[in-house]
Amino acid sequence: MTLQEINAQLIEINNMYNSGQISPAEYKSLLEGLEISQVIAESAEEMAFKEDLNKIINNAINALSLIA
Amino acid sequence: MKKILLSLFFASSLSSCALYDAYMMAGYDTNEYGLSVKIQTIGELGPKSCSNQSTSYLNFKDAYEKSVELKNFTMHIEDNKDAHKLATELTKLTKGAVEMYEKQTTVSEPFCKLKMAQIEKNANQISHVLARKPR
Repeated sequence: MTLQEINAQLIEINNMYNSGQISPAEYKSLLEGLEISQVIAESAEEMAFKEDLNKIINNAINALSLIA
Repeated sequence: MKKILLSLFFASSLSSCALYDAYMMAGYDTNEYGLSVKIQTIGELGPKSCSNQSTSYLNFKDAYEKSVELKNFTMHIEDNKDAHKLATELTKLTKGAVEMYEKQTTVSEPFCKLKMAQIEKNANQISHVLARKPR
């Protein structure tokens, strides 16, 4: 989930809890889910950066092997 | 030529650990990608059954079991700790949903829909990065 999606869902969850549509236990579980979503978002971003870096390194190696 | 120089400049400005990590990362794996897509699909289609307690429970249980499978699959592959971390977090997310159905006799429909949305969006994000792994 993106940070905007996490934020939007947080608002929705709070509204649902305040209007009594979800129980306290369900509210807690959903909030914990948002916490996990934040960790996944950060880790996925790190992994995407490594993938981009991998491409750059391999491109550089390929280019150098053409010259050498 | 400019591309080569830019690549070399960028590569040399990072620490050797970051470069090694990136260069050695585990490649694309169809099984990993397939599992995360299956979990994403459960999250996408699951909300339609949220009015039925037993069907919803089975759907969440299915997502949880597939998450555990993904977590175990990524565990022993070399240089794959990033994928394993994502799978571990997804397992925690799906486990929370299963536990709710096991603790409460009645689980609300809004909870089911919101939890399915969390699973779908996170699995989608994981599928995206797994698909981009080096080939």
